[in-house]
Amino acid sequence: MCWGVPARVVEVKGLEAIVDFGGGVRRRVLVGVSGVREGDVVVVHAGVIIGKVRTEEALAMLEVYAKLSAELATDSSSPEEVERIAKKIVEELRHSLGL
Amino acid sequence: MRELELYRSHELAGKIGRLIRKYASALRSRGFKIIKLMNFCGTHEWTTVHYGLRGLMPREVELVAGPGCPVCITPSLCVEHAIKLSLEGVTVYTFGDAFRLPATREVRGARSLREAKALGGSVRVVYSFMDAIRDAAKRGCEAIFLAIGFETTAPGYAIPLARGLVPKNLKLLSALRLTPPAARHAILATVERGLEPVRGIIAPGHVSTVTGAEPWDRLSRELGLPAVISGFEPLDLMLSVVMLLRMIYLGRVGAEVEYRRLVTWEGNVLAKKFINEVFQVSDAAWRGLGVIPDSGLELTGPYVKYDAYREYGLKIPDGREDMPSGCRCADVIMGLAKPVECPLFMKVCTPSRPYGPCMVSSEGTCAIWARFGGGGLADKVAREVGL
Repeated sequence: MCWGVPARVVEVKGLEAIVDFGGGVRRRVLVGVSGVREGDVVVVHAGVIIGKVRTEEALAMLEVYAKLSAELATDSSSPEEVERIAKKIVEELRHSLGL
Repeated sequence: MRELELYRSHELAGKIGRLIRKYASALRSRGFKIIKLMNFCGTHEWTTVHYGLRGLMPREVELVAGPGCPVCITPSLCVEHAIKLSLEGVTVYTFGDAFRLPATREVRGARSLREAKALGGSVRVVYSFMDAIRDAAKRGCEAIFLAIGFETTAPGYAIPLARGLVPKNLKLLSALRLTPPAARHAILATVERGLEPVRGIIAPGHVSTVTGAEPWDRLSRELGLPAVISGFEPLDLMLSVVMLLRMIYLGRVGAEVEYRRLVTWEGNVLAKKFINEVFQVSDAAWRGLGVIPDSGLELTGPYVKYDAYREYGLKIPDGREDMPSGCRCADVIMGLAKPVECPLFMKVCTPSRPYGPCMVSSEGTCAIWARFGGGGLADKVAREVGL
């Protein structure tokens, strides 16, 4: 029921917007969040835009993984050392995943 | 978004799986035999079962589904009211899931809105509340909307009401419920019944998109166990498990957000403003769970004129006699039993002919296990080959 489907905003028309779910599926939905603009990636639930996807956070998972991994990889409790190792892990992942 | 494909990457799944095993091993050496993590969202359970995540967990880590499906916990009485009104000529709008939801008692030969429609009742399935608004305005008929849902769905009702878009002939039969109070109820129930306690909360990502992370942080601190707000891709959930195990290992409480691409601390401020304007928090019945304090939303202020309970003099559900006989949905919803432990599961209760409420929605635990075989052969095979 709390299923949310990502879509791209095609057009904002007052309280409603046309969104594109991909595969040729477009729908008129209610705008339920502030500042929705054409081109935004949003999540739609039951015909309502409930949130905007922060695309700059799309790769946050890599950073979280790298930090958790770095903590386990070092005996050092120094945050700088964990940070340094985490950065290295992110770089390696980006390379191996072709990002 | 190509980046989102990463959240299903096999390569990363293997790496995250190794972190889960490392933390589980560290916790085992500290005496943890079972680390029970409970989710509160049907979509999390769907992802868990669909992608076989339980099979990837080490022996110590148990992923349990708690109350996370709004269709499953909608009181039978709400469905009965809707059936009765539909057979009396009032048009009933609702979502597809609620259309098939069986009531405990038959009303004039119908146990669900689907059956009521077959008997000539006026029932219309819609994609959104806005679709019902447009249809009711066009037809001018006497109508209600069976408004099921959690915090995620509430803005869809609140915004059109607050903006004055709802015609006078359309009333709301609110079965809206709030997730954190039910989470507290389910977590405390494991302790009261002397069962293995819940050690961590996998908090719902789309509920939190609206509410923000703060309510889960408050609940986490109150109960003294960590919460991680998770996204819905398989690697979102796996990473959330690592984050929870780490918090348990470090003895931390509070909420951390894994689903950073959507969830903020304050949530959807606009939606919350409209929800607070249109609704007030009330004690509310959850099917199979009874009345949970401060867990429902009812219309308030000038919006009570849209209240179907008031308009038709309908009884507010009190949570009694809410499950069909023999059905173990109440225990399944609370995470106290698995679907396979119910004697009716896949015998008299199947996705095509649901008997209990958890077999209806694509987010009901029984329906998910029925479709994808949760807790079955895949998990056993995974363990035998050492995954």
